[in-house]
Amino acid sequence: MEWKKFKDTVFALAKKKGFDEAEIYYSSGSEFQLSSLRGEIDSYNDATSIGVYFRGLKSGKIGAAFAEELTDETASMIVDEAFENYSIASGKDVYFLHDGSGEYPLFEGFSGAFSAQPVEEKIERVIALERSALEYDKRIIMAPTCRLGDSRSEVFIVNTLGLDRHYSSDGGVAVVVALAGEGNSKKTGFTFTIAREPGDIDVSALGKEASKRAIDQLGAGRVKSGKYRVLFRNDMFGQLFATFTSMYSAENVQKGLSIIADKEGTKIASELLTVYDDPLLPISPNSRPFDDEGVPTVKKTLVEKGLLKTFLYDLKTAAKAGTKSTGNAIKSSYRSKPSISMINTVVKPGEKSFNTLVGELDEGIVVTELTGLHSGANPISGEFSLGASGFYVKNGSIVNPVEQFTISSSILKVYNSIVAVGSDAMPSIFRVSSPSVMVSEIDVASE
Amino acid sequence: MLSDEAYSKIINRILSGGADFAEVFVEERYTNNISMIQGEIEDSSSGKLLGAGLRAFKGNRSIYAYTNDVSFEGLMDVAGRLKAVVGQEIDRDLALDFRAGEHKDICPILLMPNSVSKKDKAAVMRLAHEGASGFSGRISQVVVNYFDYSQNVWIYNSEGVKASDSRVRTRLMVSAVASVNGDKEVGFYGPGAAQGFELFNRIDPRAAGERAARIADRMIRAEYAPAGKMPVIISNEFGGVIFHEACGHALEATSVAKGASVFAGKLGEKVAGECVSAVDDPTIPNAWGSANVDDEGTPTRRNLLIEKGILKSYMIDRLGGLKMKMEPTGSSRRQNYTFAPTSRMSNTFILPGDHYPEEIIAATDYGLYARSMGGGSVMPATGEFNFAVNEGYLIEKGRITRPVRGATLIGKGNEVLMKIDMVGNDLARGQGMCGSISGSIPADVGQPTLRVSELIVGGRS
Repeated sequence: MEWKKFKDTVFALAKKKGFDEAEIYYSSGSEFQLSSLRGEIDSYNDATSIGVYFRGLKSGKIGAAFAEELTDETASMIVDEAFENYSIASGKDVYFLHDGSGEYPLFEGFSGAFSAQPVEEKIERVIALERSALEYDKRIIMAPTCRLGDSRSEVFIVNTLGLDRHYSSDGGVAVVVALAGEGNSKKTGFTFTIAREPGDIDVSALGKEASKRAIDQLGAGRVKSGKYRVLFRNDMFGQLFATFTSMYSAENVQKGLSIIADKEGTKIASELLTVYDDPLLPISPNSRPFDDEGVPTVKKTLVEKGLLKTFLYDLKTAAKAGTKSTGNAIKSSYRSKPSISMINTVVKPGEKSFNTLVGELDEGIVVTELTGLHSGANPISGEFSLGASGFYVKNGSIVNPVEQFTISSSILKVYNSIVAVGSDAMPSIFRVSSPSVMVSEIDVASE
Repeated sequence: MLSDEAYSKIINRILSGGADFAEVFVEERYTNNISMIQGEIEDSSSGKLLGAGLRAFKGNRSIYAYTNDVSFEGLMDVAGRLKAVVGQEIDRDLALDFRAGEHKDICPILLMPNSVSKKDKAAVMRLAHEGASGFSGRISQVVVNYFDYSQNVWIYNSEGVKASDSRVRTRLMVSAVASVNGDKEVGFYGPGAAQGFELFNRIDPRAAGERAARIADRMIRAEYAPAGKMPVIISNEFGGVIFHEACGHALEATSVAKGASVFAGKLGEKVAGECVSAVDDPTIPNAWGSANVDDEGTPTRRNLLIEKGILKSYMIDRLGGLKMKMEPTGSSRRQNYTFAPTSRMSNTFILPGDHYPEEIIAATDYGLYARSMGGGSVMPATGEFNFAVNEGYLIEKGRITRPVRGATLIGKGNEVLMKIDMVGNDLARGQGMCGSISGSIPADVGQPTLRVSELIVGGRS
């Protein structure tokens, strides 16, 4: 069935069932991925998918259901399921749908460049990516992961209040993990990049950097437990920062699950910290002109020189707080409920190069890898205790690589003890772009 | 579902590009998710996934494609794309005589999730909420999540395999937050099984809530864990996450076949203390990670991984088996049709030893007792792992003395296995979701109480 006809069928059924209003989110997309192992294509993935998510609204309560085919049977299934889901909803929260008002930004997130790139060329590039990692040094044993991927998606949101919007976006990603070995020491190095066009991915630089990171860690020693000044390399600060961004969600604030709940307008960090959410960041494949409730997105400052400026709102929490949605209702997949999150987090860079920061660290630890972010960090309490590796620095120079230690602190303590911010901003996984950041004191445990 | 003849045509179309092997995996899945915050249902959603994943092998190369269009035309179209990738056109008309393997149903279901009303599911959640929120005055927030799904899969391949399976899972998850003076700690407990709603004949939802609350309530009053190297006693049940992370992932063909595992090439060698034997067993009736056949249609079987410290077997999928020149072990799994399957754990645990848990504690002069574990992760190529201790206690002079919080354990899998020096007799399993390249899947971890002679504990003091 055509999408338009499906939508009309569902809206008619929803009305008959007794919903006041109805909304359909429809996404269709494709994904392509290649990985290389020992100079040959190891895996090749090619996918197309669609998903439809229905929400019915009645007396301020929502019932939702989803499906992956557009048929008459599906249309009645999702409306029936949504109604039963609505019927058990008991929360006091009042939900709204957006009527399509507001100013929608101009969005140019679709270039078609990845789709236009011939498969042969993609194959060549992923093999070149692996080769650049392998050829960096004879101690590189292999590249356990070496992958190029790209995807495109089109999103429609239509509801009975008059919202009717869609956008397309596309982008690519490259990931490489290099494994180095010497004697008994085995180490991995990881690099990652996102891109809007194939030409933005420098496969040679990425592969070399992954291998350099692995080699530099070989023969890592231990550090003594204690308190250290710590310099987080850009991607590591990005990952740490991202782990705790749920505290900016007005949902968590209103439910008492944010440690900054009563801090709006007050100082929560060193004045060196400024953070934006930029939903239209050109480099990011996650950029979008409106959120998953159909509300226009806008760039906003969350922390300005250490002051907490705003939380992030969706329609429901904004109404409760007497303010406007910030356009941050985001679904993690088409079939999940929209929930509040950053779209593209940007930690504002400073002016110092990474090497200048290492010099200023004087004595301390550079953290270049963090593990256990999903398990050793508690986004509600802000506490974390994470596995780490990196380099020991003395007299402003790197002395030796160090491994098998943990760093423990709380995120607000980290915010407040920032003493320097680098100029080396870098997009990382978890949709955060961050420079390297130095923190005056963190507990380190090892031997 | 299409006819055998239709699947035969689809498979032959993939083979006509010169592929050595072709496979079709079709899945439909009904799911229900309900979320209760502070005793109110804040979100309930349900729906149906439907799709197919097609795969071809050429040499050691795997080509995978998926689609939501499971009609004959839709699948033929995807088969044509796979064929084009594999290579040149050759004539293939393999007469496929599909034979369904015989197996008994190891996960019989009494109450199918979709036959139970959402109101009844909400009632179970309310009991869990009450168990947690009534535990103590320090419990400030309780979130209860419930989910169930019924997954039906059909698998056909060019070797004549025709298999189907029906997998039903139900799980209750309780998070309780304890607060004192703005300080917060979270406790979690999430029992589940390959069962329908009858799970709650066995699991008392109220007790599940109490257990999550107990962890938060104890930890909010705890001091920070000590830091440094020390003996660690890990309690039974979810404590098995240590074996899962430290060793299990590195025994999957996914990493072994590439040579990217610390255990590659070590079959028959001593990799653990003599007191350690471990299995991966997807055949346990109604266990969280069980299935009748794996996601390549291979019947599941119990695999003895380590026997008295000697490495006996890996977990091997079809592609891993090709690369390693070994037989698949019925260990191929995937989150859903959008993922190509690969070797994964199912229900993985260390077998019981001789010691009473009390005996192990009494034999320890100073150390950490990890009663409840959180999640963890590992880099199989180096064996480096980490995981979080959700509920910890200090052991002093052979006794558990006081609660400690915020501990993380780190180490290298191959080293930690050698350092297990006492294994208890109280084997139990706990439920988790395991994430890897073929997605997030239900997996049991398990062990008896055991002691690691030394581990690095990341704490504060």
